[in-house]
Amino acid sequence: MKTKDDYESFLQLSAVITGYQRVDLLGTGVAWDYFTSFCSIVGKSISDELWQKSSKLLKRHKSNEEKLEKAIRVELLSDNKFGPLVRNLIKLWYLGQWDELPAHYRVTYGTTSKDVSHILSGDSYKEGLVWEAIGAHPMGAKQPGFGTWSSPPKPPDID
Amino acid sequence: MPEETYDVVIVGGGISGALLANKLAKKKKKVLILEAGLDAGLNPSTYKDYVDHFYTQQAKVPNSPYTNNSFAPQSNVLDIAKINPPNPETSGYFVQYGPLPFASTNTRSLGGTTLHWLGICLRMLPNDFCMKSAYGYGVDWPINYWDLKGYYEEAELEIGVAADVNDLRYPGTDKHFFGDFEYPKGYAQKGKKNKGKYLFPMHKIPPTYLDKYISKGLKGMKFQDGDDSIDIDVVSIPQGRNSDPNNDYNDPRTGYRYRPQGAVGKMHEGERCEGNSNCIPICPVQAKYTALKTLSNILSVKHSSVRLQSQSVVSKLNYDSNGKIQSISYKQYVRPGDLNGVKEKKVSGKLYVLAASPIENAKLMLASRAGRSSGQLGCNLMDHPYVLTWGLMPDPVGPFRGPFSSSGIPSFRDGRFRSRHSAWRTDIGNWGWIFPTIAPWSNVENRVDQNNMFGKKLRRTLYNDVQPQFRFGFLIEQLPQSTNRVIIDPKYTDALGNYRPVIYYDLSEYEKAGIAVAKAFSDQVMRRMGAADYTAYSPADPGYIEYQGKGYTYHGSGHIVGTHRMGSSRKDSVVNTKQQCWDHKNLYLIGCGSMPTIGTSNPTLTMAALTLQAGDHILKHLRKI
Repeated sequence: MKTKDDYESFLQLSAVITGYQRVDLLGTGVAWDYFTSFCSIVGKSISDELWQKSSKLLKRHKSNEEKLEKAIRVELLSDNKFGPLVRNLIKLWYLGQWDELPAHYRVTYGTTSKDVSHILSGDSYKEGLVWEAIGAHPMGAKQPGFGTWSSPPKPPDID
Repeated sequence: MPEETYDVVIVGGGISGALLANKLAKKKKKVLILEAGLDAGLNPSTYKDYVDHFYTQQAKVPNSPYTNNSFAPQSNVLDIAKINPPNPETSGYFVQYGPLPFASTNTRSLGGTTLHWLGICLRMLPNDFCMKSAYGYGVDWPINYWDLKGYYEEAELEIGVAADVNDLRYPGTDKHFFGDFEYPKGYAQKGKKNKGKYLFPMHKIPPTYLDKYISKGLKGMKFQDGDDSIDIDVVSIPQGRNSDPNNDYNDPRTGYRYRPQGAVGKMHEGERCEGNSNCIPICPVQAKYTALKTLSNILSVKHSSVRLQSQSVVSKLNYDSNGKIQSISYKQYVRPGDLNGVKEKKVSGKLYVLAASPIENAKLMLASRAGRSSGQLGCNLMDHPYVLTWGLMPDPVGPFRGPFSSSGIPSFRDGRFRSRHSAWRTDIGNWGWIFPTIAPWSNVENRVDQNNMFGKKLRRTLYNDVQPQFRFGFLIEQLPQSTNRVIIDPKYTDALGNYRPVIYYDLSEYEKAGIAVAKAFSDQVMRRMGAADYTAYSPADPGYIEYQGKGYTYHGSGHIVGTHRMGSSRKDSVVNTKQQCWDHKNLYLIGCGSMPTIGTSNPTLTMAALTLQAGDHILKHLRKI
C-alpha cells in the first residue's frame, strides 16, 4: 500500500535526520500526525516526490550509515527543493513546530495555505526531541519530580 | 439606584483582593469581589485549558496561557517596543510616551498576576524603609520593617512559603531580622502556639545543581565597589512554592501541622514542586501559590459571606461633596469583545477597596477624578529594571530543570554604595538562555538552518550547546520619581470604553550607575568561574540605554509598584499608613501601588503583608461604622 510505504520512508528518513531510532520516534505518539501534517502542509505531489527519493536512498545505502548520511546531505539537504523541507522536518521533530518555508522556496515550488509558523498541537510541543537531547524535559510537562534538579546532569545515551 | 449593599466592595481578584477577602470572611463580613477578567482557573478543567493553551503558543511569554480579553485588556511583553518621542508607542495596551518603555506586564484574569508570577517571597530589608534618611535618595516609608514583621509572618503562612531561616543571610540585617515568632497583635492562633525562633511553614526548595556549582565557585569572593569591599554570598530564595512541610511549624489556622495546599479542586496534586520548570508562565500542577487557592478556599465554604463577580469592569467611583464614595459603577459583559449584553451597573458598600494592579488602580482613580489632592496619584511608577548577563560554564550545569530561580546573591541588596548607585539583587537563572536568546529553540534553529547539522551529530551538539548555559539577572532598585507616571487621555480607550493607561517612564542616572556596577560584578564573576561571557546588548533592544559610553539593555521584572504611595501627610501621598485614601475616608487603595519605594525584593510578599495589615485596619473601621 502506497501510504504505508510512504509512512515507512518518512519514519526511516526521520530516524536518520534526527539521530533517534525509529522506535523512539514511534514512541512519541505523534509520528503519524507529523506525517499527515507534513504532507498536507507542503502538498501531496511534492511530499510524494520526497518519499520516493528518500525510499531510493534508504534502500541504496541500507547497510552503510555513513554513505546514507552523505547521500541525504548531498541529494536532499543541499537540494533547493528538498533541503528546506527536510530541515523543516528536523525542526518539526525537535521543536514540535512548523516554520513557514523560506520565501525563495515558496516562490519557486509553491506551497499551501497551511504553511504558516505554528505549533502543531499540545502533544507536539511536549514531544519535541530537543528536551531529551539537552538533558531536560519539556517545560511545563513530563516533570521529573521534587528535588531532581539538585543532582548533576546526565548525558543521554546516544549510540 | 445601587443594586445591593456590602460591607466591603473589593475591586480586583488578585492576591491583594483575595487575602483581604479571606481576612474579612473570617469575621463573616459581607464582601463583593469585582473581577474585570474571566474567572477561569477556579476549577481543574479551566486551569488545564490555560496549560493547554500555553503548550500551543509559540512565544511562551508570561501572559501566553491567559488569552487576551479586549474588555479587560492586558499588556504583553511582545508589545514592548522602542519609543520615538514625542510620539507614543500605542501598539500594545499601554500607551507609552517613554522616553524609555515600561517593560512589565500584569494579568487581568481571576488570580491576577499571581497566575504568572515566579513565586519569590523575599522580605524587604530594614534600610529599604528609610532610603531617604539612610542614603539621601527616594523617600522614607511612614512605617518600618518592625511594624510589618508580624504581617510578613502572616503573609508567609497564607501564601505558603518554603525557606530555612538559617540559610538566609542578607546585608544590613542581624539575627533579629527573622527573630522570634510575632504574629500580628490579636492574631488568633489555634492549637499549639508557634513560639520562639521563627520558622517558615515549609523547608526550602532544594537548590539546583547550578546553584551549588556557582556557590562553590564564588566561595570567599569579594568585590570592590568604590571604597567598599563586598563579601559575595550565594543564598537560597524563599518561595511561594510547595516543598516539604516543616513539622515543627503549627498551622495557627487549623491547630494542626502545616500541610501544603495543592491544586485548586485537585488537592492531592501539586503538594510539592514537581520540577515542571515552568513557574512563569504557569505551574501545571499548582505547586506554586496563586490567588486562585485563597479565593477557592473562601468561595468553597458553605454560606460564604464573600461573593465573586467576574467579567465586571469597574469604570468609575462615585462620591459626594465630602469625598465619601457612594457607589462604584461597573460594566458587566457576557462574552469578551461582544458589546451586546454589556450592562452598566452600580454597587454600594460601607467601604471600598481598590486591589487591582497599581496601573489599574491609578487609572480608575484618575477616571473618577478622585484622590488628587497630593498631586502624587499615578506618579512614582516603579519596576526593577532587569538586566541580564549570560555565558557558558566550563562544565555541564544541568539547566532547564527546576524552578526559574532558586538561589541568588543578595550581597548588593544593602550597603553604603546606596548613596552612590542603585542596590540590586542578583538571581541565578536555572533555565539556560531562554530569556536572552530563546534557548533551546534558537539552538535548534541555528544548528539546523545555519550549521547544516542533522542526525546524531545534531543531538550531541545540542547537549553540549545547552548544558553549560547559565544566566544572571540583576534586579535594579528604581527610585520613585514623580515624572514616571500613569495618566489617562480620552484619546485612548479600550473596547469597553474604559481608559487605557498612558505611561511616562525613564531611568535615572542613579539606576544606570547601578546597572554599570552590576555588569562589572558579572564580569568579575565570569572571570572567576572561567565562564565564557556571551552577554550582548543591542541598540535595537527596546530597553537599550547608554551610561558612560557603554550600552546595556534592561527588561521588565513584572514588579509594578507605586502610583498611590503611602505617606504620613496628605500633601505628599495618596494613602495613609492604613492604606486609606486621604481624600476619601471610606476608600482604601491596597497592593504594590502603596509602596513608597521598591527596595530589591520582589514585591509580592510585601504587598501581601501590607494587605493583611490593611485588613486589620478595615475590620476596625467596620466596627466603628
